[in-house]
Amino acid sequence: MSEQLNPYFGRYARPFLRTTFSERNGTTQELMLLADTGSPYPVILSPFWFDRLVHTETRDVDTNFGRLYSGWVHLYMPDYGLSELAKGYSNQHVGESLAEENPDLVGLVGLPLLRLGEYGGNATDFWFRSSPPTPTSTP
Amino acid sequence: MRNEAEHQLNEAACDRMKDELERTYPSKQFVAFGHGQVIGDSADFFELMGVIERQGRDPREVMVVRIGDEEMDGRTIFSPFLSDLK
Repeated sequence: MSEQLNPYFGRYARPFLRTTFSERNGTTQELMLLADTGSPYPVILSPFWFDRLVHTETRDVDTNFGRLYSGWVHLYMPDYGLSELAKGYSNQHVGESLAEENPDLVGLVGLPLLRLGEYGGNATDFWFRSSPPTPTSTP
Repeated sequence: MRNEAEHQLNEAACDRMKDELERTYPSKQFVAFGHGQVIGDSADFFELMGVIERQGRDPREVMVVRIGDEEMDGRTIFSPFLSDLK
């Protein structure tokens, strides 16, 4: 079972996840994304990374943080048993705000992505790990 | 960089054809739009990418929807982090 244990970082002790995506040409990119269970959107990226990782566009959405550009991204974390298409979103304001907090932060992951594995936290760390295999029923 | 005019054309076509798309294609089918028209479909996203590229189109200027996906427009992001940053 793969797991990452990430100490909270920054002034406000933010939880984060190292998340890997596959670009259109197959190159993989590991990004540091804020873990945010309050977001119903799987992935929100800075415009730079959205443009780089998006495979095709999909329908945009309006939210309480403004309009988000939308497209399909490929989450590729084989160690966690994850190779999933996900809807990625982008918003200039969100990207700039995250960069002000920490230049290494280039987006956030929301609940739909976190639920692809198991996640949690304690006083010092945030963790994410692959889901255990679903038990099969025995006769 | 996005071609906004192309995106608006595709989004308008998708809105206009919403009911027809759901009648025509099975759930989870990927359907691609280019220049305001359906240009391909597949159950496999990456196979559809290949179809788009063989048409000589830039996939980044094509809009792909998945039939039956939950509507995500108008959602509220309950994010303490983003609220702090706002």
